[in-house]
Amino acid sequence: MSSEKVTQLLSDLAGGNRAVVDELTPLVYHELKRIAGSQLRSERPGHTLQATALVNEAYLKLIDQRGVSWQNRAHFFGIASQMMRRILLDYAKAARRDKRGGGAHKTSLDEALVVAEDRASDLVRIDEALTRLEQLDPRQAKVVEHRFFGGLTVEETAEAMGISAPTVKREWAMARAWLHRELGAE
Amino acid sequence: MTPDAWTEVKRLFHAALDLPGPDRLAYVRREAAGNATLLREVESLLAAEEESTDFLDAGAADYLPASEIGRRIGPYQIIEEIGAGGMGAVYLAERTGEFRQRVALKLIRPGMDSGMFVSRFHRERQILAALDHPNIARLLDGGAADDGRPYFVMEHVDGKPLQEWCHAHAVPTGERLRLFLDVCGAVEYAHQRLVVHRDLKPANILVTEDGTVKLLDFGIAKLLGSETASETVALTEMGGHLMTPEYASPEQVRGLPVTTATDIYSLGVILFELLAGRLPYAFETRSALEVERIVAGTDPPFPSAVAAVPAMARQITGDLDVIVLKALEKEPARRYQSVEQFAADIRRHLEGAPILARPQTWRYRSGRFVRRNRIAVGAAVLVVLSLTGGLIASLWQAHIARQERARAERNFDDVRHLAQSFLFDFHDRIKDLPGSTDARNMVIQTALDYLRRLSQEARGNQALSRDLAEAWLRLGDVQGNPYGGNRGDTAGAVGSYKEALAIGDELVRRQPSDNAARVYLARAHRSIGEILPQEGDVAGAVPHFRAGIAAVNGIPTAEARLELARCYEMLGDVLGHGGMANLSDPAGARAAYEQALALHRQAGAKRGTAVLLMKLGDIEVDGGAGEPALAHYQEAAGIFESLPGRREIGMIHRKLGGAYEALGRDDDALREYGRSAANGRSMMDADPNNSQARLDYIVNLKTRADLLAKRKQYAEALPLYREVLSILAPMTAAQPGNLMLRGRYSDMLLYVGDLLAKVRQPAEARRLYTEGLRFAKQLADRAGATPDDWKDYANYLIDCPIPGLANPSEAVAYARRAIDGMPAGSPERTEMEHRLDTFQKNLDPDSGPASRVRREGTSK
Repeated sequence: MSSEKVTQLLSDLAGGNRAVVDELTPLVYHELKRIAGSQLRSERPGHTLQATALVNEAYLKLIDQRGVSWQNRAHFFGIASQMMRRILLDYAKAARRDKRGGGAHKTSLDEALVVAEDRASDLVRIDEALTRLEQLDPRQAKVVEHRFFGGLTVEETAEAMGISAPTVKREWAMARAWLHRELGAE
Repeated sequence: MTPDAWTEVKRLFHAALDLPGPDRLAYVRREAAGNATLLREVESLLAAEEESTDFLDAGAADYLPASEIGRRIGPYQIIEEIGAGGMGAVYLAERTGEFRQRVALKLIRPGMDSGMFVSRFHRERQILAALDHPNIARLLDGGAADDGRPYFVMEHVDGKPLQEWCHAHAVPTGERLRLFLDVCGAVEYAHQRLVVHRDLKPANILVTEDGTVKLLDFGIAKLLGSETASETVALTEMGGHLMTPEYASPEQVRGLPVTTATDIYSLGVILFELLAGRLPYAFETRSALEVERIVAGTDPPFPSAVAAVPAMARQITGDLDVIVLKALEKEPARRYQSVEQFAADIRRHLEGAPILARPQTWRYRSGRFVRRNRIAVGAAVLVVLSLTGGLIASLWQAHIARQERARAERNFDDVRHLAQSFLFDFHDRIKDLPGSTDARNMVIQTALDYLRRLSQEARGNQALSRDLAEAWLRLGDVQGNPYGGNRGDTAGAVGSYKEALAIGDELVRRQPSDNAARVYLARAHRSIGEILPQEGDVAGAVPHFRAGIAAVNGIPTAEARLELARCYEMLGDVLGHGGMANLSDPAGARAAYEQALALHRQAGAKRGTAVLLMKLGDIEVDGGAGEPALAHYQEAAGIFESLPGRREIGMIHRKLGGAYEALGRDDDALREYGRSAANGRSMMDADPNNSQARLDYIVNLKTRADLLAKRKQYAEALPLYREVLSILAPMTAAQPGNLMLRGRYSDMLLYVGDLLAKVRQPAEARRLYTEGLRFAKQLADRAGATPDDWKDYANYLIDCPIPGLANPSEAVAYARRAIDGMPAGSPERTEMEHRLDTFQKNLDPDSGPASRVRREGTSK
């Protein structure tokens, strides 16, 4: 699919046509996964992955930059957040699995048991708690998905969700407190 | 939480957040006055809000591990990660410059480059430097990275793990043995240089494309005699974790000294897996306690008995079974004395010469049997739960009615009586029902709620406090006591027991002569002691048992003396009973058991006396003292014979048989197994409706039959197996809904069918197999069937030894269904995928000589 076509889909989305999400999703997902994979594998030695940079790279690759607005970009990022959640979770689970000895080719996995806590497991637990929050309050969960997994700013989140920036801030504050309490109780 | 309630929480939370910090709580308390739930929810969220200022700010990607790929380390550039651990990682790297070369580079992880880890890292390097053998990956170089972290460089081996290589190349048994001999050669070489590998497993043994074996990863190896005292302590402390449970020896899982015999054990597991296509033991939770219980406490099956492929099973029955099991002996001293001896026996087998190892004390136990039971038991539990759920509902209504009356009349005793009837009458009635754990929990919680409310009204009421202690103890039992059905909530159980402990302490402090309170105190200590080993804290249990002993020692009441005997018995168990995690102090265990035994003898408690005699015997069997064990078992048998309950009689004769079998006295063993079976027979005749008795009888018959089958006395074994089937058949027919029974029957049919096929009785084998497969299919097709059911059925079809009986496309269909139902990436799924793969390759006419399945499929 040409970048003009993707750009057009995105404009339709910004214009209120939610039906194009289904068409956009597989394209964006594929691109994000490719970039995430190459970043985690090789190109950024010694550094962790930056969600914002990653989504930006996908955006630059997929979207024709002429004549797209800031709002288009926010919508693109909005779609990307959900996928970033899936992609990052896949990596976190893979990292955790390797440490438990699941990777057949790995040589010395058992030492991992010496390390008590690892961050990848934290991410998996945050995701699980977020899934519970979705049941209670889908909008709050969405805000967390955009901010935490997608790396969107308050303003971008507001644009992508079609709500005001103060509302985003309020929902973010409460969701963060709820998740913090939920994880602390485990 | 209901949507309305959530909306309310949200409104109040946001409103509070708009206020300055100090005003928030007062505002919320005012607004939520009269709604305790709302108040609690908003208060806790506000508290969490204060603590969560940085929370989630970093972004999700920050939670993923950092990458070293692309870094330059000395003259090397890292290309990709090929192995990772908590301490460091191994990378594929390339030496740049004039001599381009691919190497494996091991680099310590940032933050781990201090103290013990660095010394371990250097030890590995030192060990590798001393080893120069064609089958061991060589050390090439080493140094420190820019940031000071140590690294070393090894020969890069481009190969596949041993097991995978054999699988991928469909390597025949003889060739597998020759590869294994190469592994033995490398391990033997290391042993000669006083190096014990300690972590041998297929993943550490690679085979290159040309078939060369290379041993890797001496990461936790030990240089015999070289460690300083402090290093030894550190390594021992970490020892419990630094191993792979599947390949770890009993002495490793128990934290005992490691010698070359440890590597011999791991080699035994590797050979088992190479031959049988599966591991000797399966773990569910891989907790330290489970691993120890299984590795140190249960016998491995014959590799031939669990072999994934029937053709393989035929080749390994006999010599190879004996060789593998010799290497897997629990006692290091009973294994091969050196890798060289182990290898020599395999060479003898390959040459057709008699091997030196002798069959030991192995009893065949069917893993399928147990696994199948688990599913069926799960179903039974659901049924019982729904029944007891109804009971509780009606009791609940009765209790509401009583509660109202109690309130109206302010009748303290009535409520206490109600709580007691929950706690004692109702609880004790459902206690022994299978699957009643949740119901019991609910019942006890109810009683506890009442008692706590009452105790608020009547502080210092000694009788009520005792009831409360009783309730907490019972709650703890149902939450997590390992000696009864429990909910697996060990933390909760410890909490409950501690409540009981506090009450008991308080009662004894108030009135030191309160003997009943002392018994509660001892019981609470003992219960905590019983549960701690479950959490891996075996040593921590000892002071509790000793405190229990101190609390009741010298009290003349029967109840106190019984409790004292129990504390001693449990102390003995953790000190040294081989049936559980213990502190390897058999002498201490023996002393404790003797105290308990004396108490039981004085009290004239015959059953207790016999149980203690039996445990003394168990310790002796474990210590290799077969003769004294026989004496204890025989005395226990004599007592059990004189008692009304007959179940233990079968058990003690089975143990006697096992002790004889261990001494190599098969004839005596067969006689004892015969007695155990005869006992089962008489129990069954006495009470034809007692299905437990029938199942016991079947187990006893089967134990005897298994020893006969092991001795290849098939003509004598077969009638016993047939009798087992003839008992199971009408039981199964009479209870069409009993899935557990159906599963056992089907397993047994297929097992005996296999045996008949082996001894060339094809007609009967076919008949049994046909029926067994029919039942297995029913189980797999029932509503609520699990992936395990489909997997079992698929495996039966795949392994079916009867030509033309199993339909290959049906096998494929069920295998696919099972695979789809299993979690992605789980070991069971991978194993099933491998099996299906192999099976389909054998079906495919283009992939080599026409396979067995195909030939049989077309010969119809």
